[in-house]
Amino acid sequence: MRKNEILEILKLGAVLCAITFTVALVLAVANMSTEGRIAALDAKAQDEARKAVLPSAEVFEAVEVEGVGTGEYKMIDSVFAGKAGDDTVGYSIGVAPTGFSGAIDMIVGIDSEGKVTGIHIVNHQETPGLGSKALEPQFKDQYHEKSTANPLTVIKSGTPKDNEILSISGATVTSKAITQGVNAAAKIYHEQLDK
Amino acid sequence: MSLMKEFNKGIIKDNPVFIQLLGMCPILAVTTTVENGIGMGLSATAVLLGSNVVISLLRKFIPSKVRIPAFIVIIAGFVTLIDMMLKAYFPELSKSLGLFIPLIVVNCIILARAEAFASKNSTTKSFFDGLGMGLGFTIALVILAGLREVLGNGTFWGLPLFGASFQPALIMILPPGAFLGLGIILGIMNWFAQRRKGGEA
Repeated sequence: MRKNEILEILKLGAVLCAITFTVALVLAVANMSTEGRIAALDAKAQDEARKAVLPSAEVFEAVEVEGVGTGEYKMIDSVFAGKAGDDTVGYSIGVAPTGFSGAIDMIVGIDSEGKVTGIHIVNHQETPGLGSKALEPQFKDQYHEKSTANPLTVIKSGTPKDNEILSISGATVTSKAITQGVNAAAKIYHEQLDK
Repeated sequence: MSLMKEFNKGIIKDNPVFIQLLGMCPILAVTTTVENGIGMGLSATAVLLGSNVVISLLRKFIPSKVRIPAFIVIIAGFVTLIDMMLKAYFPELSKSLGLFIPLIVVNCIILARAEAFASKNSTTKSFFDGLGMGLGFTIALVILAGLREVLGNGTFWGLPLFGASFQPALIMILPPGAFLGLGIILGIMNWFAQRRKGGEA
């Protein structure tokens, strides 16, 4: 009787092991065959996003800035200098402020005059229909041509002044997070890049 | 025909959302726009079809004592596989559905069908059951999402329905609106069901 029980447990374990092993094997093969393509597509999308926020640049070069990702520059992911010929026409700065649900992965373009040339949201998990409205031009285009000399602030209603952004109704947290991201990019631009 | 019956039952009689009250998490979370509803519904249908077919094929091999972990592994494997394939070969589609794919793992409709149907029935029957349940789920999502999007945002499928003077009831696309909308729909459905039965209610 006891022996039978042990045998049964072993059999159950073996079947479960076989199933998980097969699933893992299928996933490993699928991962190997798709990994390269996914990485290439991601890189392409990133490059296109950088072009979208800084249209005057022809090529982008990664810039090493000390302290990126830690301390004061915790929100910053990456810094790319946009070049047209030999001139640096601006920077595209990857920032990841924390939104309503998780990090908002976005890119901010700032030209050599310190003006925001555009923002692009690469990835986000904001509420569909509310926070996701940040992707719509009506909200996003507010950042265009904003000066980065002073930090931008978010207002809930009324007509935004020069350094103000009108929040998406019902998604103040998202609006504030994105504005923080732009301000973080402006900060690193003034302190480290614009010399 | 009995296959038609397996297909039909998921749409009205045993609708996974309105009758069985399964899958409440995605129902409440993603029904802010009709587009999201369709995206979630169709992705879940694809996974449901796949998992129902595989589980019904393996139903004699999986011992009943470890069936739940076995089902979960298979479903999670399916979801991950679909996610990777979409990312690599259909990046555009993946972008719009990407949000929903990981949510499907925790969609209990899929586990419920595996447990209640696919593990006991033939592969063909399970295929039609999966298709019917998936479509029933999609229809339910679209109904609730339609209600919430029209009232809460004044649009349907992103198209404005009313003039600029229309002030949408924002609460409908906020989380409480999901409960309000679902409650109203369930109430109406129950009312009709009672009346048809000639009930005393």
